[in-house]
Amino acid sequence: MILERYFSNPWALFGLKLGAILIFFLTAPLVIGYVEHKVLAHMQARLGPMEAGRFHGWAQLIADGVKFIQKEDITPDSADKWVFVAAPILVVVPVVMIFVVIPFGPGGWWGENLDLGLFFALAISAIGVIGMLMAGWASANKFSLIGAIRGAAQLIAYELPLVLAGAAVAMQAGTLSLVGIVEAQNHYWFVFPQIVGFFIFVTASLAELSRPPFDMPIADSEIIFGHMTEYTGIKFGLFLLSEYAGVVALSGLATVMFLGGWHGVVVPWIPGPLWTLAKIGAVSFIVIWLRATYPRLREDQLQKMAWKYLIPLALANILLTGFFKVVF
Amino acid sequence: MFPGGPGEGMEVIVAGEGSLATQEMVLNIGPQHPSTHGVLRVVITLDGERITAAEPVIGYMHRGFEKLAEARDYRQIIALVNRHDWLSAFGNELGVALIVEKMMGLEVPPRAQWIRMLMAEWNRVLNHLMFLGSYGLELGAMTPMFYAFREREDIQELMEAATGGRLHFTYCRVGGLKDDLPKGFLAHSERLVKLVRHRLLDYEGLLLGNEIFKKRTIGVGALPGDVAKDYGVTGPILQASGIAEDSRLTEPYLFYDQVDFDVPTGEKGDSFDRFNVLYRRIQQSLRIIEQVHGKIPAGPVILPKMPKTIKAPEGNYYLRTENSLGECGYYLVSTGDKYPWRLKMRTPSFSNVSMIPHLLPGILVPDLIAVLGSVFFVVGDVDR
Amino acid sequence: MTPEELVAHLQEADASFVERSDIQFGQASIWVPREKWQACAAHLKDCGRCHFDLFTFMSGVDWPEQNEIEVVAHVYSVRRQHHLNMKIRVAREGGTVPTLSEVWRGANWQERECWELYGVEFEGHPHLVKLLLPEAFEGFPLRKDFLLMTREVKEWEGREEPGEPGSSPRPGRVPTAGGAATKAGEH
Repeated sequence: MILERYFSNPWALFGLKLGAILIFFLTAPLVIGYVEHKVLAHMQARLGPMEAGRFHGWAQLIADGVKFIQKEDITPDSADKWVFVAAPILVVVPVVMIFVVIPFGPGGWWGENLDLGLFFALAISAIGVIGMLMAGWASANKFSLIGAIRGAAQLIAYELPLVLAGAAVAMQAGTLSLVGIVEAQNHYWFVFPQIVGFFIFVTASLAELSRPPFDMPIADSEIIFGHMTEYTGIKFGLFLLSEYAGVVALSGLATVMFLGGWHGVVVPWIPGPLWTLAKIGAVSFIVIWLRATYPRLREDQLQKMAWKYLIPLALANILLTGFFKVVF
Repeated sequence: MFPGGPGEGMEVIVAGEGSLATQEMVLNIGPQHPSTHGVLRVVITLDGERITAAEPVIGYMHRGFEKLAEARDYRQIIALVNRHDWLSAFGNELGVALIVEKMMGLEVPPRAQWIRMLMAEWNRVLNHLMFLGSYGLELGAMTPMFYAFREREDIQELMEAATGGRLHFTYCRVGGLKDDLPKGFLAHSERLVKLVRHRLLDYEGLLLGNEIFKKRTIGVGALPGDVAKDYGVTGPILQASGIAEDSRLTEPYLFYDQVDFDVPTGEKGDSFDRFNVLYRRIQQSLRIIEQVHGKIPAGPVILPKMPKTIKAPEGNYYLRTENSLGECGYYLVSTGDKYPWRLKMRTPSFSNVSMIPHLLPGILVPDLIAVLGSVFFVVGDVDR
Repeated sequence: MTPEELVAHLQEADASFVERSDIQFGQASIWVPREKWQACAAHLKDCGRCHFDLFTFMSGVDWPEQNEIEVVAHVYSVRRQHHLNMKIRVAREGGTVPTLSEVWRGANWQERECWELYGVEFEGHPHLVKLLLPEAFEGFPLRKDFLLMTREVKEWEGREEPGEPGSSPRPGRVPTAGGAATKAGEH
């Protein structure tokens, strides 16, 4: 780990790592959000943001952030005040925590090399459900309630395929540590033997994030914006930040688990972190592409897909992985 | 302030004594809602996510057209009825002009009739494209909406070249049309037919062939044909329920008997069928437009000897035309004056919306959106 | 069936169905007495030769001189492809008409609209409440004695054609003898 060579003071190290993670957490969603605006626009025969920042609207999301900060903070009269305020925090913090463990380069770079890295990441990401439920209930709005209940059902259902796909990868690598998983991919990326697992993981993480085609909880043509309907200002900004940061975080996990992390192809002199960033970008692009193309699945069809198709598939995947691990 | 629906505010009905007692929730969809096309309000009673009762509340856009029509002469009325179905405004005007001409016994020049057909069919394409796009949007597919509006922009440019308006045309006059077509219009129209036809294939791939779309719409909101007729539902919805009733075929007006076209029908009358019928109607309209291109004769576009004031003779008559959304009819009672004694505007969306309480009970809330989107209506048409 | 055949068939079925009939511009209208209103409707729907299955509209026409409101129901047959106007005249004050919403479901909303705009009560209607107008609205707008405020506040300039006696002079325009004739075949 490069930083450890130059800084021996553990507090300085801690501060630097924390700073790096926070900076990444704040800028990566902006980049991905801007890319989403532009990619969606070009797929829909239009231009996207062009004004903010003069050159093709690069500063659009920064302008959005400033806008959210200076907006009036409205709390509905009949809302449950403390729960209402606490909900966005409970949605944002778990996502930041995932960033702590994603390794960007050999040794982890600024990510922590936890022995239980994968387990930690998947467990933490499940806390977001509570935040969603709190937001929906405390808003005192029937539409928010419907959105929160849908979200809770959906996220619980799709936790299982997520974890099972992760378990197969852990079996293949022989370790739960994310750094260890990437190091175990130095011969071939896990996406090849685990193609099914990759598909399950990406699908389940789309559902975890409530991204189309699984965005029933925030279906904007039905329940306006689900649990986020009544939020204004910076609280709403935090929800949106958590959504895009979640896209980056879960793309990061998919990259690390299946796409070889910092291992490059063909060109050897590009540093590891850039490879990781490129792969995260590629997976995020696919997530955005799916949003432009598909309508949304209905709740019961979603649940059916999780319980009847993804979970048996994930279990079969584990079975096969175990079989090949033991036999070969 | 709002008219009372079943239970204003939260109505608590405790159901299922003995088993787990649940409460039914009364939810207002609308009048401001992203999915109702305009100000339609549906008051639904929910048991979890299943709808047990539904009642549409309309009248938010009631402008009193029928009262206004009694104080306007027929030229002014043509400008007024544009505002019913504003997605295909020409069709509304056509009905008024046709009924007055019929009652007065005027022989409209053939050139005007063919051009009216051209305009009416382009308006049908305009209207159906809008619903193709917005239906995808309600189900979550954002992209077809933009493609639909791109096509609509091109067609509106074409309409603007001839009529000067993009939305409300006021192009029809009793006895013909306001103006002749500009130079190069027909060539422009021909190019546009090819373009729209080519781009329609995108919709087939993005929507009709999409598995998620099919899952959301097949079997949802099935309307049997006899129930549809009972409610007075007409147009694409009736055709999707299997009944090929189209005024252009059964009582041809203008020159519809001299062009070839089919009336596509569905089988089950569910949302997918309605959407499919809409898609194929666009293709048929393009087919008609192509045939009309070659048949427009030279000549005047309005009767040379029009009377100075247009007075419909005494009597009453009901005339219907096949507007984009269904049967648009006018019942005119005249006492021989230059304004009508009574002009009843029979709009298709009114009847289409009246059958919503039949379709909704028993389905889930997301299906409500799928059903509402497939019941094609324009609020101006419903409320007048 | 042609309009004449239709009227003849109805008179054959029950002579009291048709109080009076009229055929205008090729379309048949029959006036049905109140007692036979629902029976006639049921016959029109069920009879195999009439087969009126599509309910088109129902509305009213106000005749203040005769102090009556004429309720018109128009029906159409998809199979036989013929139209019919069913009419009935009721008194302006306290006039009632039996409901047709059991025969055709589409009559439900149409009758509600007719009631709120004209004041004609429909007996036996399941849910006769206002449809288009707000709850607090008073009066029956489509009656002739309900004045259109815009025309009361300001005179309708188009009441007389320009150049005719009694017309109001439009600002900036010199009234000509030719009047506002429509464009005469210039193209």
